[in-house]
Parts: sequence; C-alpha cells; structure tokens
Amino acid sequence: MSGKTVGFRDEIKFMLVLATVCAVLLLVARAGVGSRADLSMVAITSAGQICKLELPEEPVAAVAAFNEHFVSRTRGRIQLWQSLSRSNVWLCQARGAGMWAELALLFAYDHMHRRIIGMRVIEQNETAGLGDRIGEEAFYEQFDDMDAGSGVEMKAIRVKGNQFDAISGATITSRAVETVINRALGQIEKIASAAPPAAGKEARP
Amino acid sequence: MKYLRILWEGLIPNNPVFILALGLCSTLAVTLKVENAFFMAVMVGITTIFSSVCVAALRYYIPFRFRLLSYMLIIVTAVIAVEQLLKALFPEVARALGPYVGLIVTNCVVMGRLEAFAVSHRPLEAFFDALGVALGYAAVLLSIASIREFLGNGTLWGLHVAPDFYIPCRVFNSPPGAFIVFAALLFAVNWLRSIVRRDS
Repeated sequence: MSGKTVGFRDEIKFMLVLATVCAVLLLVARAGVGSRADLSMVAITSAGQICKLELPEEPVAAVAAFNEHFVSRTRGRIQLWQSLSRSNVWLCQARGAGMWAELALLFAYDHMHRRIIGMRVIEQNETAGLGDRIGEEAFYEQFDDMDAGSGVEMKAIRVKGNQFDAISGATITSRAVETVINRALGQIEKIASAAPPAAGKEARP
Repeated sequence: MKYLRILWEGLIPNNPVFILALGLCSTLAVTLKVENAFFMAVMVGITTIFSSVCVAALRYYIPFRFRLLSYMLIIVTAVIAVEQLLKALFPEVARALGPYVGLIVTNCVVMGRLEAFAVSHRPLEAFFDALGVALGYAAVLLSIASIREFLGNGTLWGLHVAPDFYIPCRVFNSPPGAFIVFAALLFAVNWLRSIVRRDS
C-alpha cells in the first residue's frame, strides 16, 4: 500500500473521530438543555389556555409549573407531552411547512375519546391578511372539542364533526394545518398505545 | 505583553467589521435593539473563542485538504450548543434574533480568524486573538445598536432615556437606518485613522 493511500486513510480517520466527538458534544448539549429549549413561553401559555390551567407568567416558574402538569414523551418535529393528571390527554407541538415558512401548532388531544381539546398556532409567517388568520380566535374555536378519530379534514364549508372551514384565499395554509395535525395524530396514536400511564412524577423518564 | 498586543490587534487594527468588513449581514440585521446586539455579540464571541482554541489545539492533526470541513464541524458544534442555551435561557431573545443565531455558522468573522490566525498559532495566542476580535465585533454591534435604538425609539436596552420632547425617527428602525448609521460610523472611524496615520 502506498504512502499516499496510508496518509489519506489517516486523514479520513481523523475526520471520522472529529465528527464523532462533535456529535457527542451536541448530544450532551441537547440532553442538558434540549427539553427547555424546545419549550417556548408561547407554547406554555397556549397549553395553559387549551387545558384551562393557571400557569405563572414568569418564564422559570412557568416551565416548572408546566412540568408539574405534563411529562415529555418525544422530541423533534412532533413533540408530545402526556398529562400527569389525566393520562389519556396528550399535548402535541407539531411543525410543518406552511405557505412561506414553517408553522408550529400546539394542540391537546384526548386519546380515549379521540377528540382534539383545543388548538393554537404558536409560530407562523403566513400571508398577512389571508394565511395569518389561522392565528385568530375564530379559527381556533373550530378545534374546540373536535372529533378527530379519523383525522381532521379541511373543507370549504364545515359539515362533519372532524372538519374545519378553510380560510378564504389561504387554501395552502389551511391545507398545511390539516397535514400537520393529521401527521401529529398518527404519531400520537403510535406513541400513546405504547406509552405507560403517567402517574405523578414517578412516571417521568 | 505579547498577548495584550494580540488582543489589541483583534480589537482595533483588525476590527472585523470596520477594518476587515466581515460579518456585515448580521451586523446590520440584529442591531435594532441593544439587547439583541449584546446577545448576538456574546454568541459570536463564544463561538469564535471555542473554535479558535480547538483549531489551534488540533492544528498539527487537521488534514490540509479537509481543513475547511474540520473548521465547519467545530463551528457548527459551538453554534448549535450556544443556540440551544439561548433558546433555553432567553427564549424571547432567541425569537427576536430569528435565523441569525444559526447563521453564525457562515459568519466570515469566525471562519476568517480560524484560517488567518488560529491554524498557525498556539491555543493561548488563538484565545487572545479570538477574544480581541469578539470584543471588536461586540463594540461595533453595540455602538450601532445604541444609536439606532436611541434615535429610532428613544430607548436604550428598553429603558426610556430620550427627553420628552424628542420624537423618535422611525427610519432608524428600518434596514436603511442600519446602513445610514453604519456608513456614518465607518466614515468617522476612517477619518480618525487617517488623522492618527498622518500624526504618526
């Protein structure tokens, strides 16, 4: 084997070691503060509104209060928390592509009765005056106690219990909301059927 | 003395923004408020110092043909870690800074110091060089942000400091306002440098 090949192999080895060390450092950082980094104050406030919880406004106290009510089950683009007091209730923060940028939704789901308890948009950059109306109260109200056993469906005019009115002039944004929620519901079904019942702090991972 | 000279070189003669004209995008974008500029400067500083020391420590091992890839790996690690910390500790600031935190990865200030200095010096020297550059970057960011926030809102770090009769000039809250302030400061710095050079 020529010296050139040996040198190249050593260089590749170094790069692999460096990449591994960097990955480990990132995992350590993620494990340390990842759960807090993913939990924004908007999400906590929205969770309080949906589940009708009294949560403090001060960020550190709010995070602590939130952790008293929910336990994290999964992270990533679809984050799930299970309610500690009602184990059939799941809180889901899901991200997906909107019209112009990524949007993030937070909704609570009753797994036993297959119903969405409530929904809030926590991040969006949709068209002003059209798509950004997904952040209005009138849009949220459609998801209050909504039947979601077979997923949600966007319609021009709401007829069935699992349908919501599309926003006029913002079909792509409305479709994005439908896609994000349905993808998250599929994930909840998978996780919820495998998860142990949450019973106080002992159930935390 | 040698380390102080390195620190001074990074702070003034090799100031990344005014002299080397590096990292201008983020400089103009995040200087709407002093608070945002401060956190941006801190994060760029941490990233620059961490990556400079790492590259200086590994300078005999980093393969020449893969050096840029190695720099990127180290910078990305530092940036993601500080971004997570910022999101966890100061979520409102993280939201205000938007994508610019992640874009520190492509900030020329960081990469420039690694290639120009850290790769050929010892870790302690690289540390002081990175510290000097970070302080120079912070000084520029805070100057621009202070002027913009004061003229645009009459506030400094959110506190109302302008006299009551002052009517905020909203143009300084917009991108052209950033260019105006930056150009004025650049003019002042170059004028001062020319005077110093002539006197010496």
